[in-house]
Amino acid sequence: MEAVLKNVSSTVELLAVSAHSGEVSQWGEQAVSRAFHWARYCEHIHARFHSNPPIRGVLEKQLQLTNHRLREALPEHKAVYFRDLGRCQDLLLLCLLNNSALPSSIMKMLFDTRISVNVTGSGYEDVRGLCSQIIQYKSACKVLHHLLEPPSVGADAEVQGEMLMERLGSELSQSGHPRWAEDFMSSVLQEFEGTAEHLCLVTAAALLTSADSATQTASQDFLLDWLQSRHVVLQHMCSELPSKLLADLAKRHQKFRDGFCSFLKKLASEMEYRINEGEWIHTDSAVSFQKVTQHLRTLFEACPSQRTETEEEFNALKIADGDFDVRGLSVWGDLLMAFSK
Amino acid sequence: HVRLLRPSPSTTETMKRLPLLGQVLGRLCWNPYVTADGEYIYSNIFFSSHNLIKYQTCKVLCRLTTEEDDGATLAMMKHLGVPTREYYVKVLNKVYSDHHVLSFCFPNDTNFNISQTPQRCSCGSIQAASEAFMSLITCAEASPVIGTLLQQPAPCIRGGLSENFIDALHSEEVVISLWCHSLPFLEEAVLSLLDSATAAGSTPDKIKEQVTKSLLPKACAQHCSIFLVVNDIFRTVLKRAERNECVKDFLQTFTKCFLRELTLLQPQVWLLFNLGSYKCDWKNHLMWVSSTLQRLTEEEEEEEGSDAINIRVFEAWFLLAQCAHWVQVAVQLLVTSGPEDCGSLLWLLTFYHRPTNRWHHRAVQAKAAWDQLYSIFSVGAHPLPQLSLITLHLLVSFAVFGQLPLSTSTEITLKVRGFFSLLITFF
Repeated sequence: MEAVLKNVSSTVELLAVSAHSGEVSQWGEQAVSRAFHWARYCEHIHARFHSNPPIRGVLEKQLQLTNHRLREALPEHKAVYFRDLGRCQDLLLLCLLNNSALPSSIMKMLFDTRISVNVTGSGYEDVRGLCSQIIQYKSACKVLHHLLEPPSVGADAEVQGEMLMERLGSELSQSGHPRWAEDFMSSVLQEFEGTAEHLCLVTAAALLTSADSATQTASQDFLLDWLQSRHVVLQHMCSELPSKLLADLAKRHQKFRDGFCSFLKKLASEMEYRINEGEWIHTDSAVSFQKVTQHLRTLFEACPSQRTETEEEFNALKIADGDFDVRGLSVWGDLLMAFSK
Repeated sequence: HVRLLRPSPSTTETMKRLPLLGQVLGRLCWNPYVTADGEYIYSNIFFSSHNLIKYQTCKVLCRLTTEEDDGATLAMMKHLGVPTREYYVKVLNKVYSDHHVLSFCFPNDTNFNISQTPQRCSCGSIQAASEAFMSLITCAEASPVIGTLLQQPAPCIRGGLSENFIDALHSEEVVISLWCHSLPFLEEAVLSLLDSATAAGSTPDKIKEQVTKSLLPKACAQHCSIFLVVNDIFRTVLKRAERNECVKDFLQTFTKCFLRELTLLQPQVWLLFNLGSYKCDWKNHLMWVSSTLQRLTEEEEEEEGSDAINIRVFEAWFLLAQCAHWVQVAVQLLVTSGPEDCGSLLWLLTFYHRPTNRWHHRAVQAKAAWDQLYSIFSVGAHPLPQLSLITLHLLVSFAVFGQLPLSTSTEITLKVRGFFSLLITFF
């Protein structure tokens, strides 16, 4: 373990040097290649230990010490945290490209557009053309993103959903305590404060990934429970996502279906009938009466059994409202009328 | 005019006086027609403008590589500790997976099936798709899309795929990369080459031209996987057409072209297959090849029916068929060297022509032929017996490399002109 700590510490030092030192001007292809080798080592360490709280703690402490020491020598040094280790190559690249001492030959090497013969496989063997490869992949994603009409959540969210599931799986199985997974989700939530829409998509994608193993099922169960406890996120999902996606989720997960149905019921119960507009309106939510009807219709198509159950329930509520067959008196009666159309 | 700058001692001062100078110089640096005489090119300003450009370029390139427009995605990547390249490769793979691509080409049909619903595909979206994927043709991840696009029913290929896409497909690099990732295309290419090269009327020169033009030897040299697939196809064809000399000739030509391409990539390879012109080296090499193969086939005799041995014998023969120039050297050596080595070399020749015969039959038959020809060529013209393929091969060798005067050799050879049609298959 001591060797690992020392190596990680040295790599962080290497990052600092590559960002701020004029020494970089002396670096040749081999030196840069070796630097990336060490960065890969740190990525490996991150992948190996991110879900192991004790070791992670030790590494975090070591990083803190190293950062402190480096800042004394180089005031402009930016602290490196444990989670940065997972993207250590990116970090190194950023440091090098921002260092004006970087020799042109290295720039040329990094931006070499030669197509490497073996693109498949791990593809991490060679630093040559690393940047042009990233640019190529990125542009391809961007171009295709606009061209493709995603059938469900889109490739971006699908990949992120898969990554999220993977991470939750390892947090749950390795640390052996759901608290770590909860902490992790809380930190994700914090990160996405301003872009909750994206988180909704990613969460939906995660819940729609195939759950072939026990770990995957456990992760999805955890995520569903987490959604139940974070009512805001669930609400957000139900009001932001398209009907088809919500119906797919409801079909896959009973827990989600329950949550979704009670969300819709709650929303309907809070609606008021505006005589002037001749419409049911919710004062706080952007979800309209039509949207609720559409959500329910799509849901019934996906889960026909839900239809009878909901209709019975709505009927009872309609009776409680006086059982009038006139529009505008009971939201339940009007919803039932909308389905039967 | 650059000369104007000369009297000014400090760069900063000049820059203050002419604030746009940096930009002007920057643009000048990119213009290939602008030259400066030695005295000025190293002037401070020129130097610092170079540095400025380098700095700016660095910034742009850095932004292109490391910055992310989509803040949410970047946050997710950072949070999960996922490297950029890995992330984008995953997204691309997802985009390229059939599900997404088909829904792109055929947005109205979720259960798209190529063979069942050709009428539903819209040529417009195929055109857009082919344009979009044009620059990604060489990417491994894009191969399912390229394959899907190319496999569209015929009316759509002409109407749908963009011309630029088809032009791009014709480049060497693209074709080879397509073979790399799509087995059906590779198979089609190999089979059509085999068809055209072994068709009636093809000559060695034509075969060579076709093989080289096909790019297959080059692709085999570049990618081991292509080499393995191509060779497997050859194996199957040879097993079905053991006595088809055309296929054997084709294989030899193909191997030659392949080795030439491989030598361009790995110069040391040439040494492995070509021993130069030293007769002694060749003799030793061929004797060794012959004895190794003999040992192998004798094992086959002992363990008759063993699949493992059969496969080994076939593989050995396949290698010999690929390196058929060894057999040609062996035939030459049979005539030019003495009778003491003739056994092994004859064995090699017989094994090449009749790999599935029993070894003793092979040896007896070949020895008889050699004896016949030896006597014919040592004395001069005689009545000729019925000639087998092996004998014929030997005869040609005797005529070309034998010690008799040319007129006598010609006389003997003319006597067998009835076999000339067969001779053509060799040369």
